[in-house]
Amino acid sequence: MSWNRRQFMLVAGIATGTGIGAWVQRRPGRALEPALVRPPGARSEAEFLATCIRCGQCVTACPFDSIKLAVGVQFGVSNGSPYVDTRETPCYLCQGRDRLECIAVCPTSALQPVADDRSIRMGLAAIDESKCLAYNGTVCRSCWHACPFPNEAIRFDNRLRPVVDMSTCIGCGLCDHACPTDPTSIPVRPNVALSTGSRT
Amino acid sequence: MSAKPRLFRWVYARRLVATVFVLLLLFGRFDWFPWFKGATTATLVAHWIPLVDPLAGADVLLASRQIDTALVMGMVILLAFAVLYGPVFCGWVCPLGLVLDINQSLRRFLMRGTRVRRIPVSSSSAQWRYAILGITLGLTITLRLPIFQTVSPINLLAWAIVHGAFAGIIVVGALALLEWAFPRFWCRVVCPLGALYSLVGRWGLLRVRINPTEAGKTPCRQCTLHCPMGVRVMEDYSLAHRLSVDHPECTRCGDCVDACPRPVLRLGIKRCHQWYIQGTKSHHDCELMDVMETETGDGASAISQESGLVQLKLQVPKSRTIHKPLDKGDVPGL
Repeated sequence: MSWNRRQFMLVAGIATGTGIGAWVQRRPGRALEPALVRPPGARSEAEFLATCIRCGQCVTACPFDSIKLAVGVQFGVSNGSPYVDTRETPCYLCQGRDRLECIAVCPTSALQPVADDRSIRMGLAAIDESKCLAYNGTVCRSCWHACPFPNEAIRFDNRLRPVVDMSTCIGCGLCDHACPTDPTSIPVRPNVALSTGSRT
Repeated sequence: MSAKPRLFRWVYARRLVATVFVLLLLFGRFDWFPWFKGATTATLVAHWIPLVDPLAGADVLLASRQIDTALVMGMVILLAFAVLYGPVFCGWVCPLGLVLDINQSLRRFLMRGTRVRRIPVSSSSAQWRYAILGITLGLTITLRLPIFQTVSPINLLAWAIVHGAFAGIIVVGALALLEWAFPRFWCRVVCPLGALYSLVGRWGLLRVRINPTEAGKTPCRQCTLHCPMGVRVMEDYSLAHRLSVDHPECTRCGDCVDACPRPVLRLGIKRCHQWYIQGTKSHHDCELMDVMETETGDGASAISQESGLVQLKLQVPKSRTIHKPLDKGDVPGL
């Protein structure tokens, strides 16, 4: 068997793969499911999935073990990519360190350097007013206490109920982690809705 | 007939290297071991040397449609190694290769004496590896996802080792089970990473060298039977008067060398790379120079005389000749 045969198989494979890919691409209703909260500095979801090399270096670098590796059928095309389960372990923004470790170790441009903590957009906290204690007659300020930017990302309205400022919230999930209700009243929504990728 | 017991075998060296790699991956998860971080796709060695799996890097470059200098630098190191020495990663480093290799040894041990027929996966089916490589690259281009990296059993195994994500072990286990019926199915027929390494490593200097004066004296076929990639070492190379096993699927694992009961095969470095050969010296001359060196201890002077070929001819049995015109298709660079 010659090299010509191998090279032919390679070229034929590229043609076939491109064709199948184009066909899959054209089918409607294809979404990036499930949506995951990505580590800080992540690009838009589509770009992040294209760029992430699935090496897990951010997972081992994270000093708080906030970043986890998504391995399993349920993660679909995100298999092997990093995510943050904010309810369990939020992103502490590498407190006590002079840099964000995950961004520093990323070998690709999947996690991009951020100017400061305020420009991170991991996701967006959203209050579920039907469950939130403060909205249901109990005094509770857990999320406000936990928030790294209190009175900015989480403010109180005139009835002492927390309100998320969408332009300031970085999606670190400290509020989600601190929320005393079960399930959480302030889940962090992944950044998928904000991404401008072609496949969202 | 099995190989005679020997103190040194390439299989020990090979498995030691692969085990060290697995241990490095395993230690990499701990903070007290900062010298090796990452999985099989990309690693950072000693804080500053980035190593990027060429296929994973190519996938990311194609999916993101951007040139990432740091990524390319990491790929170049491994690519350069593969160009120089051939697809050594497959035989010596790949953690999945280690698992499947031990799986085969286990199978051979448990099935000993029962004369279970090997269901052959002929080496010509290796062409599917190149088709699968092409398909994954094509899918990556259009879907903008490094699709092979999300499903690769090599990565699944590495994630299990590094991060304790054992979901992927099911796939690796199923593969190991499948290989009891189809020996080395993944490496021979599927693995696109192996195909890429074979493509770039076709002129690699590390080869299984054949001693022409010993070849064919006792055609026991142990080399062919032991080749994990299904290369017909005896039929196509040793009996065909070739000087080295130039099969693209050869991973330099050394199993044929271990199996050979006579000093016919050895794992060695060729003298000159195809890329360095100047117009005066042909590929075949280069090979001859190496052979002469092992025969006489002075290859350069032997080949410098025009009579180099003649000298060698005198040493081999009369019925055979070294200077057989080589099959153009199969020998790289001819």
